[in-house]
Order: sequence, then C-alpha cells, then structure tokens
Amino acid sequence: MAEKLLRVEIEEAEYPDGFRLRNISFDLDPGEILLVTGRSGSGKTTLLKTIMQTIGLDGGYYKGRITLHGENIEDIPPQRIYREIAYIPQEPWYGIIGYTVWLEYCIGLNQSGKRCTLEHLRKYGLETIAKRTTYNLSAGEYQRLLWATTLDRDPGLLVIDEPFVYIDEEGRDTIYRMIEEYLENDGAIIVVDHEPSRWRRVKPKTLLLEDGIVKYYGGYREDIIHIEGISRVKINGLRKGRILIDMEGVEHRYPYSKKILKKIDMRVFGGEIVGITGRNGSGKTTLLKIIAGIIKPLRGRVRLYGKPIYVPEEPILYFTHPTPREELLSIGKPSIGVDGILKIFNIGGIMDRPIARLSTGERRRVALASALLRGYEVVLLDEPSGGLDNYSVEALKDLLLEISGRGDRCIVIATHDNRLSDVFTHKYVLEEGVLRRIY
Amino acid sequence: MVVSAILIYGDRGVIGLFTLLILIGLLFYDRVWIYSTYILSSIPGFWYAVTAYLYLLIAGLPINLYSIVMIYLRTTTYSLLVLFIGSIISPVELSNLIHKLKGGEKALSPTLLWRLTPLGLKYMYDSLSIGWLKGEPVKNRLAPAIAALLETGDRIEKSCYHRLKTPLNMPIYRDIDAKYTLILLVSPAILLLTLFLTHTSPYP
Repeated sequence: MAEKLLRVEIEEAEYPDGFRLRNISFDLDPGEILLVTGRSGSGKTTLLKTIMQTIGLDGGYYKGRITLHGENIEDIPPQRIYREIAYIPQEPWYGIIGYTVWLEYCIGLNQSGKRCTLEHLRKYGLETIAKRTTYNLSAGEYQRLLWATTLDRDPGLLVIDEPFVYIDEEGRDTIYRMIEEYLENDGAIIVVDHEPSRWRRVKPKTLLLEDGIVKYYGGYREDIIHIEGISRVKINGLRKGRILIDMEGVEHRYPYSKKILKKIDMRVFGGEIVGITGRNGSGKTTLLKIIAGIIKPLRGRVRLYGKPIYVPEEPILYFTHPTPREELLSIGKPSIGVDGILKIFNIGGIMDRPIARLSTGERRRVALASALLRGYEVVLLDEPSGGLDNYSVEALKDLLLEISGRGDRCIVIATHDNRLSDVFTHKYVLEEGVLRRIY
Repeated sequence: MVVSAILIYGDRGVIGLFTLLILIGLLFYDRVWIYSTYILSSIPGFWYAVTAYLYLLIAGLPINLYSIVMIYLRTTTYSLLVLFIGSIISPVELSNLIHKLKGGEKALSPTLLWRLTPLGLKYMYDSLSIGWLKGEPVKNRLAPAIAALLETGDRIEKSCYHRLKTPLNMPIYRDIDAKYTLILLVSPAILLLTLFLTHTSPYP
C-alpha cells in the first residue's frame, strides 16, 4: 500500500496555559484538501503548529506521531520540511524575510532550488510593486506576495491559516483559481478557515474542532458546518449626533510613489458606522491614520470634533500595559461600568493573561473595550474582524453598535470583510486614490 | 574612490560635502533624503565646531573663525560619508558573500536584518503614535513600543522557523540597475577632476 502524503495521529498537544488538543487523527493524499474549521479558540492554529513542529517554540508539546511520506516528521531536517511543506501564517507580514517584494520572491525560490524572473510576478499582479520595500506593504499585498512565492516554490503540501482575511475580492478569485490548479497538479492543502463555505467548490475533507477535540471528520457537509443561532444585528433606531469628522480635499503620497489619496471629502456624524473598502494597497490604512492625526496629509484639512483612537490591524500596538486588567484599570475612573464592559466583550476570563499570550481576536476585543471605556468619540478600526469566526463577528457587530449607539461616537472601519457590511450606515470604496460613496 | 579623494583633499571639505550631497540626491532623488542626511550629519559637525570654539574661548587662545567653519565642514563631511557608505551597502551582496564563504543559513541574516529594522521601527512609530492618541507620556510608551518590536522578531522567527534554517542554493539573483552604476562611476570621476583642477590652481 502506498504511503500517505501526510498522516497525523495526535494523542494530545498542550500549551503551558492549559489549552489542549486531544485525539486528532487524519490523513491526506496528493490532490486532497482538508478544511479545518471551528470557533475561535477551538485549537485550529494549534493543530497547524503541531503539524509544522513549531508548537515547542511557544512552550508547548505534543504526544503522537505525524508522518510525511511515511517518515516521522520529527526526523526530517528543517530544510526538507521547508521544501516539502509551505506554511502561510494568519498574519502574513510575519511570513516574509526579504526587504523588497522582488527579493522575498527570489529568496523563497532560491531556497527551493529555483530561479526567479520578473515575468512570474506578473502572473500575481505584483510586477508593479516588485521593487517596493516590504515594510510598507498592505496586509493584502503581503498575502499575495506569500502566495506567489509559495505556489512557485511548488511544495507538495500547503498549510494555510485563514488565507483570505486580508485579500480583496479580485485577489480571492485569483487565488481560488491557483488553488484549483495546484490541487489538479496533485498538490495537497490543509487550510484553516472560519468561513468554510468558501471552499465548497473544491469539495474538501472537513475537520470540525471544538475545544480541542474533533466534532466531525469526513466529507464536506453543509449541515455540520452551517452556523445557526447567530443573532442578526439591527441598525434601525440609531441616533445621529453632531458632526465628528470633517475632511476636505485631503491628498497624500509617500516618498517615491504616486499619489495614494486624491481630494478626499468625507463627513461623519455621531452614531454612524462608516465602512471603507477597496483593493489591497489602495490607501485605507493611510486614510485612517490621517483621520487620527498620525500622518499629516500632503494637502487638505481634517477637522475632528472629538477625541480619536486608532486600533491597528496588529492590535498589540495599541497596548501600553502587560495585561488586560492593567490596561483597562489604567483608565482611572471610566464613565461606564467596567463589569458590564467585560461581559459585553467577553474578556472576563483573560483579564490576567499576558497580552503577549492572547490571540489576535482576544487582543482586538480588549483594545475595543479599552477604547470604549476611555470614551473616545472617533474610533478608527483597521480590519477589526481579521481572524474572527462568524460568532465572534456577530459579537463584534453588537459591540460596534454598542459603541456608536448612543449617538455621541462614530466608528470608521477599513475592511475587506463583507460580514461587517450590515452594520455600516455608510459604505465607501477607495479606488485609485478616490473615495466613492456606495450608500 | 570618493573616500580616498576626500581623505587626501580633506582641506577642501566643501567639495567633499557637496559631492556627497549631490551623490545622495542623484541616487535617492528625493529632497527628504538630502535634508535628513544633511541634518543628521550636521549634528556632530556642529558639536565639534562649537566645542572647539568654546575651548579656544575659555583657554584665551586666538580664535580663527575660518578654522572653526572648516571643523564643522570636515566633521559633517565624514559623518555624511559614513551615512553614504551605509546607504549603498547591499545586503544582497553581503548575503551572497556569506553564501560563498559557506555560511549556510547565516547568509539570510543581512536580508533579514534589513527586513526587520524598518518593520520594527514602523511598529515602534505606530505604537508611539497610538500612545500619543491615548494621551500617554512617551516614557510610559517606550517599553510597549520596544516589546512590539521584539514580538515582531519573535513572530517572524516562529512563522519562518524552517525557512530560516534553510540555506540558499545559489547566490541571490541581483537586479542590477545601470543608472546607479553610472552615477557611482561618473560622479567620483567629476570629483577627482574638480579636486585636481582646484589643487593645481594658484589660490590657497
């Protein structure tokens, strides 16, 4: 009998904080795709780290046996693992080691014994940014660069954590096509995704996790994965307050690049939740930073009639104190009750856990709770639903309505996530530097 | 060539200084670069000139303002030179050199350093800016900003664990830009010619 490409038999895998995976077994042949799904905190990323043999880097361990082509993965040198398995992390900027787009692509291929050409980057729409430094790429551009390098390295197995969080609609279609082609060429994929329905057309095997144990393993089944009981938010009855943001003729460009924002006019009132969408690298984050006052625009003016706060897509940058408790208590005397906020944001159980050990979703909830307690009137959120499952997104929407509902605060959100659309009072799209109002 | 010309003809600090400014301007074609590098390299120049002036003043020695200005110009030139050399170092060439010296996965270190430094500084900047929005004193914000920088390195190390243990198979392909090569060849030639002409002139 031919050896499986990958065989996983995990008895247990555990972190020092007590989270544990138990009794997980599956296998994968060339041309197959395994979708790992489940709620936030169910153990999906831990499973990937166990397969990739990096759980130990976070102080964890595992018992069991994982084989690649019949060979115990623990005995395979890292160089071979790199060539045979490609890992794309949830936060794509952590998967890049080259300081320009071109260099990152070439180093990746070089390490796999392949040569790089600019022609190849054209296929992924990256040729126009080939010489750009990687530190100022948008999250979506990071993702596309990782995909380009990974697919052209042609490893036998792709291990991907939440691949579409930061990718625009057009980019998603491109990547779907590449994935289908990759599977047809006998590549295998393990993918973690909160939105399983995206993978329906490639008929994945499905592994549903809950609290570290397998609830379902088998063929793709809508009824297993369909998430029910989520309360749909209602945005009727929001009170419109006074004007909080007044932008007029805002323009901006970075050194060595063309204008990224052209004559942006926007007015936002209290009680409004404004969504800004647009392609990767279209300038959404720059716009939020200009509103916050972090970046001074080249031209135009921004008038704020309330205190602003900006929560970046990497929420750890928001925090000043080492634990959520210290962060929230540093506020002094908040205008609203802390206990109620802990309940709404579901952070009571992690108040004393170091922020460095929290997941991105947990960090985001703590940052939002802090922003609410501190009483900021202008709340600017960059990709707030990144890494959140459908339940958590609905909870987030409730939180956003909670923040804006009194009519004295507004929220501006830069996002690709359509799941947030139903809370937007206004939606804009940023294209070629121009901000266009959809509704 | 530029370095040796400036060292040999050090008295003509103005020539060296302007040559470097023109080179930086040509290579990086942005006023921001010229301003920032000049201001940065002026700090030690200004410091040395002022301290020399104060020393002469306190010691009661005769003060030659020409010499003080020359101290400023020469120190600024040397500082600018250090910045210039730093800016034209190619991490790709360093990586290729380490690769040729059989450095294994260590050949990735220069590019990784060039990747991490601006990214970490950008995160530090964002973190300090958010601290400013939160109304926190900068001193309270430095520790979390540095923690964010350290976490960036840590997360890249974990996400790229196998990759960072995988050596290069061949030298990294260099995307050579003829424009830079031309600038770096023509500019020093003009400098040398200028120095030669001014050196043989009858003026001091």
